Amino acid sequence: MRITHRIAASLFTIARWLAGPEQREWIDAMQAEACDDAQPALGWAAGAVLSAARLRAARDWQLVAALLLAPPLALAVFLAVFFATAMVGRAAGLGTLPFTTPLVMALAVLPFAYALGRIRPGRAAKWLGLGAFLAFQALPPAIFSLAFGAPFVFWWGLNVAVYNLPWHVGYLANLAVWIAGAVLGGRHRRAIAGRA
Amino acid sequence: MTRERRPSAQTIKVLSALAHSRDAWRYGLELIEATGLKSGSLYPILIRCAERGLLESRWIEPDVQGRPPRHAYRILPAGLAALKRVETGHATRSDRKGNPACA
Repeated sequence: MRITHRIAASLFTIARWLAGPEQREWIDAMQAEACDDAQPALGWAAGAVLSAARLRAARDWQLVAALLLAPPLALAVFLAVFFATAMVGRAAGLGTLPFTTPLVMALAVLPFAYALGRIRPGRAAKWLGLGAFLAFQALPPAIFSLAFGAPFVFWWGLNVAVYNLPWHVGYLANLAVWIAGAVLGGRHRRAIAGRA
Repeated sequence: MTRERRPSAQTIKVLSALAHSRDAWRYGLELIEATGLKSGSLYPILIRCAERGLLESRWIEPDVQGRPPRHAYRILPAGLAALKRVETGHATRSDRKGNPACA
């Protein structure tokens, strides 16, 4: 089996998973067309992943919208609260209060993580938390490099490092907040559904 | 009252290709050749059209041994009607704008 066919087979598997059981037949249809030796199997496989992603986005638009909106909104809330507390601290002559950044970061993220869990409870909530964490961490470097051409900067890691904590503690703590919030939201939704 | 959405230009291309040989079952590969669409664009259109009852699909055993069954598509009367409505709509709009040659 050629390497391109192996990659294509893996892409078709991903497409099936993305499409879900009710649309799986269409991915099978695309794979059957790709079996023609004259056809570019990778092209068909990429098309299948794209089709599956479109179908999934159309079906789960609430989830996609939430996943796209939660990280930038959490970042905006974090920046607003962080600068407000920093200004208050400076005005009161207290300087930078210890652990303000981690605390504000956790509190800003928590409601959005919770909302993601409410939309999709269960095991999916944990994956959503992970996805939102990755987007949340990728956003500032992406914005800075696109807008100002600045090099990649560590976000939470750097902010935690100033308190003499290792950078990976910051990332792990942030990941924990995203996942815990999402799980909490999912459990709350199930509890409400159970009572109804 | 539900308002029917006008099919996209790509959907019209696919329906037109199927209407060209209305009783024949056409494969995805043939439709790609006929419409010039990529597979990632064609299949979501086929799925939407099938869900709206504009076309039907079935698995066909291949002539060549060793190949898996292929999915084939055929336009339904509702698809032909939708295509006709679009064509009539185009004609009506052109009439309303007026023929520049007569201006």
